[in-house]
Amino acid sequence: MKKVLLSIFVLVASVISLSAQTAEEVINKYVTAIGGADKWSKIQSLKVEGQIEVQGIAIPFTMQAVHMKGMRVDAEFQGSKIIDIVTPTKGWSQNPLMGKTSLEAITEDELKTKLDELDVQDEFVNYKEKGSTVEYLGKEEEEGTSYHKLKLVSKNGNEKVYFFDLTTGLIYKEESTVKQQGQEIKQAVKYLDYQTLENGIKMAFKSDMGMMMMVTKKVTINPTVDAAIFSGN
Amino acid sequence: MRVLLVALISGIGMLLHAQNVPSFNTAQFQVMGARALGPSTMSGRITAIEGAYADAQLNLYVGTAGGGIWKSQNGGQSFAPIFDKYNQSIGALALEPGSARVVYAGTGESNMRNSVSIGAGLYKTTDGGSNWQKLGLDSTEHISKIAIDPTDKKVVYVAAPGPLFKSSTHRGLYKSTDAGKTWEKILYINENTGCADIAVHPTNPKIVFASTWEFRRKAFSFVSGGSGSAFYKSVDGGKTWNKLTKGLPEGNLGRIVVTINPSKPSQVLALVEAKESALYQSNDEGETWTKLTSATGLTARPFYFSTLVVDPKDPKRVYRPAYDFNYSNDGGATFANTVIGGVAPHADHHALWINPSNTDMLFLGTDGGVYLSYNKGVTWQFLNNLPVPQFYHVSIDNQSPYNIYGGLQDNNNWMAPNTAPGGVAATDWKALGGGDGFWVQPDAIDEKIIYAESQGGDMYRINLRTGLSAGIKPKKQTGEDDHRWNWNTPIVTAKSNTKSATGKSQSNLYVGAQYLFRSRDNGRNWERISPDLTTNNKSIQNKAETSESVTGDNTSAENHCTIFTIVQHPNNENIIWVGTDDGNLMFTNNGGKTWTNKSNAFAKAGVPANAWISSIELSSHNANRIFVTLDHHMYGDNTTYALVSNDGGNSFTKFESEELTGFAHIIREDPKTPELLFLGTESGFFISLNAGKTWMRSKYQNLPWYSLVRDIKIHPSTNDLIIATHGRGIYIIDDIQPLREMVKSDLSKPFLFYPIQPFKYEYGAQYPQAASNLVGYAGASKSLAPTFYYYLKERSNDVVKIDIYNAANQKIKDLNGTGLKGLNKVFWTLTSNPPRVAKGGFVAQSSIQYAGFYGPKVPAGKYRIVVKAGKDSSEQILTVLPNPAAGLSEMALQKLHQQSMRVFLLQEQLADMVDTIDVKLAAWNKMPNSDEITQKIKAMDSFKRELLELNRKSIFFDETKFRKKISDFYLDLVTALEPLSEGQEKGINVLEAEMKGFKTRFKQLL
Repeated sequence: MKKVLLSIFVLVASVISLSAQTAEEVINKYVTAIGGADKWSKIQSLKVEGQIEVQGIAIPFTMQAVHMKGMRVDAEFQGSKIIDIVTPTKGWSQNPLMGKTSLEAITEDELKTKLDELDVQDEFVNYKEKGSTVEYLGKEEEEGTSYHKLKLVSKNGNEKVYFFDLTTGLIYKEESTVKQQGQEIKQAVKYLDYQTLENGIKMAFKSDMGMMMMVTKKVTINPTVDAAIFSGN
Repeated sequence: MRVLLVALISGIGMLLHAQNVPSFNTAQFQVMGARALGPSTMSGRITAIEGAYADAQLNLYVGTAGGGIWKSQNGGQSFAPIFDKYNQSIGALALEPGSARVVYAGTGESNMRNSVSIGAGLYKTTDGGSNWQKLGLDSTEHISKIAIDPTDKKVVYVAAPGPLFKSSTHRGLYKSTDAGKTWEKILYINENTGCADIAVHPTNPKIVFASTWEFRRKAFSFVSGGSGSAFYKSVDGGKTWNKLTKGLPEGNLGRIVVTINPSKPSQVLALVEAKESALYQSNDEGETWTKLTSATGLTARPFYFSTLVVDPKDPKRVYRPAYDFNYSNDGGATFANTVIGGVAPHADHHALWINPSNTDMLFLGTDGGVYLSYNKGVTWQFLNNLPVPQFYHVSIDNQSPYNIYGGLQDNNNWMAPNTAPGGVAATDWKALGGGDGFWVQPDAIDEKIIYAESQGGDMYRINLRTGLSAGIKPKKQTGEDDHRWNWNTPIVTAKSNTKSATGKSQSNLYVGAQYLFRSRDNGRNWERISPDLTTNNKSIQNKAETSESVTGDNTSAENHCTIFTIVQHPNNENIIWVGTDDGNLMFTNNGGKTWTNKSNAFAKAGVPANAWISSIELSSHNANRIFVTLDHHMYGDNTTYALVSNDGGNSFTKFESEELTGFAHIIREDPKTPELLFLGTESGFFISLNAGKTWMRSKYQNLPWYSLVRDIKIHPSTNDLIIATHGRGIYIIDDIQPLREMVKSDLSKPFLFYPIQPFKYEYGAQYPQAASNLVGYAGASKSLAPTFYYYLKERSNDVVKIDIYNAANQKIKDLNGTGLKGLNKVFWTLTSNPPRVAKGGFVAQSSIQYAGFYGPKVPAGKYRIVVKAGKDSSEQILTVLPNPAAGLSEMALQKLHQQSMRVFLLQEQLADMVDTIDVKLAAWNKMPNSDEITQKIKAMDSFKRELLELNRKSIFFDETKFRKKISDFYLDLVTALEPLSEGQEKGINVLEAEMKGFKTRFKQLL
């Protein structure tokens, strides 16, 4: 009897450790697939140039960010300038298409959802040190293919669910929930066209948001970025 | 050895071939997504409501009988479905104490009516419904309540009545002490007795009350109660139980509902189904009981009404939502059911949630949706935003746009256009009478004559011209047995070649009791064209009147040994097939003179005797092919029985697939492509692309994965696929022609561009529209535009480019396509590329901005469409036809195009001019200062200000310059559906003259 009980206990214990291990395994495989933690840790600033394609129209953009200090996106559409700025304490946005004709401070809700973007390294690189927690949610079907499903809660309290390709280990889809005025709004992005950069890291060059496709054309690693651009004044 | 080698090689060859053809799933035609029409108008049965505040917003979770779980984050102002990948029948919901995001969901409703669906176990979410995990209890089929220990959220109790139609050990009271990871059954009586209710003491959670319930439904009877039914109390968290009897009725009991008074927990209330059912009260934590009242409003239909709630703050305020809304102010001694004001909640109540922060605020779940009261239930409002109606059948007509007809569980019969200006709104649905609604059929000749019914075959004819109706149910004639009409009696209309005495063409109308009746005069006179087609086995005919049930219930739901399915051959009215609910498949080829029973062939296909024949489909492609679905769930067997015969019903083969689950309701063969089959079961919508060899569960057509699919139609002229669900209303997949093309094509090719059907210029009606405050849930209207479909064997990371050329071989339009694996879909709005618009100043949300989006409408004619996907490229011709009936004649379209292009040209000329101005100004500004340059800059700048609006200050346009003038004019033209009149067209002359003037002056400024 003792023996049987023990084996049940071992089984339960192994089941628990299996699920814990799987989250680690999935993340390790992913981080290795995108170039490894060492290379990513060296990235302290980033510049990405590309365009947002929507209904056949291309809107060029530039994103500049300093790790955990500031991020700024500049885009232009038919002569209207669209700007998005995030810093650890405040954020601003200007979007004439949405009625914001000059830089205006964003609400606390909006800022909270954007704070994670200050991490120019991949958020799974040293995720524990960054204060994030993860949970393995098992395998789930997406468009007829099975993926590892994993939830990440960032230190800022943002929840995101990721779908990892079983063979490549890369992220195919991200589902996030943005909270505004107590209402949760769901968003989904599919990551396509992973390319390897000159320092050996890998990045998705296309982000498919359904109605919109963000296309990366050029990535500069560790450029010099003037902190003044993160001032919303 | 050689032989073996050859076999091996040929095997490899086959393997390679098989690998070439991609394994298919419904994601590969996700672009064939359905429009969800709902509606929310009459909503559907609600089984559970729970709520809690998060971020100062009232979050609500609503469980439904067949439409999954819906969540509101704003106190019911709007809802979104959160359980679409799982079983859709919800029995119970529970929120973890103190959380608005940790939810337990027990699937399988426990309101044990004849049409109740079956669950698949217990689920849990920890993130408000974004992600769910299954916790087990898979075979319980029905879960009535989930209770969580208020002091230890890891302790969870689940009451499972268990399967309704069979004996099973998967029932009783289950307990978890690790938040659902593992379960122990802590109260179990026998295979026929489950657990109906559970209540946990709010401050001393070791005290637990539970009721056990013996019950069984058969096709022809229902029994609630027996020796297994009892009332129990535990004082050690369910380790040991004491049967409660003091003061409670003797003899067999039925279903018992228990609730502990939350603000006075020593007091417990219980509704006890017994010979004399009554509400009982205990004031000593359940030890002894006193009868309070046996008022009928409280005690009717205990198997269906099991809600009893006490106000969280006021111990005297007791609610008993049942057939109507009963409330007490004296702790349950007396009840009132008065509802004041215009909106009375739909009858039949199954859930009540009282907002603990504001106990005046009640949410009531009924057979017809959720109602909200702000004054403890005295007045109500309907939440017109939950599209969860339970259709039994759907019919269509040949109007333009065609109408949808169908009957709903406890919610009448309805009709609505399939598409409407601004979307199909709640107000577009019109009631066609009934109680429960089932079959609604327009006449085969005169579509303004509608046949409809309520339960038990109470049928009537509606004349839509007069709005008047008349009863048409056949009456018993001499020599006939008492008629047996199914709960869901078939009404079928079909074509006839006969003429009346006055020479008028006639149509056939069929209805079935145990006899088949036919009318050729709109149901005025009936001809019985069969003997009793059922087994006429007396032992399986309605036993409700002699039931051993503690409480009787006879609503025609147990009528049995009846005709359930009727099909007339579309081209030969002498051929009629009839299916009965007791397993007979009957066939005549002489209009009913003689009948043959074909059901003997079922046994060889593995179908048990007595299974309901739920649908019969005659193939349009093969005179000897017939499809049949059978439903045996009322004998405790949920197998999917979908069969095909290729020899006129003499032998059948059952479709086998691991994908198929749920008892089968309907099978439909595509009339144009024999490979394409559609199957609806209690647990999903399934598609076969190879005549039933393999099946796919529809997961990417916008339906819930485990939809309860009751009926499927294919519209003969629009090729739309119409799906009726029992919990999520109507879905329409517009025009399945691309699916037919795909089925016929060689899918091992990397890229295919399918032929494009000629498109007749057509616009959906713009007006009249429903009042926007009343639309409720609105189903999307039909998109009308030529659509290109192409197939990619593998997902493409590159944008697929589509170029459109006109007859003169000029490229007029660039489109971006998707790179999905499988079928891709691109709309063309029949416009050419938009003009370049002059840049400068602030133009957001103005006609100037929009002018840069909209291109002119193209004239009728032939267009060459080139699709480029990576290295592959292919082209097709699209013929765009005029539509003179809609005012879109070839001439009119040509004229509209010419006029648009004249203003288009002005836009581009102005854009060029402003570009040159900007270049000049930049150059001059860089030149050394001089009076001449300063003068030139000043003159040019002031000229530019005549062209462009550069002084905008408010959110509106503050000035109108030449750019805005031409943009306003241009937008009017490109959005118009008819060309400018001769007089209006002169307006273009004025603009052109103005432009000419600007050009002259511009030259002088250079």
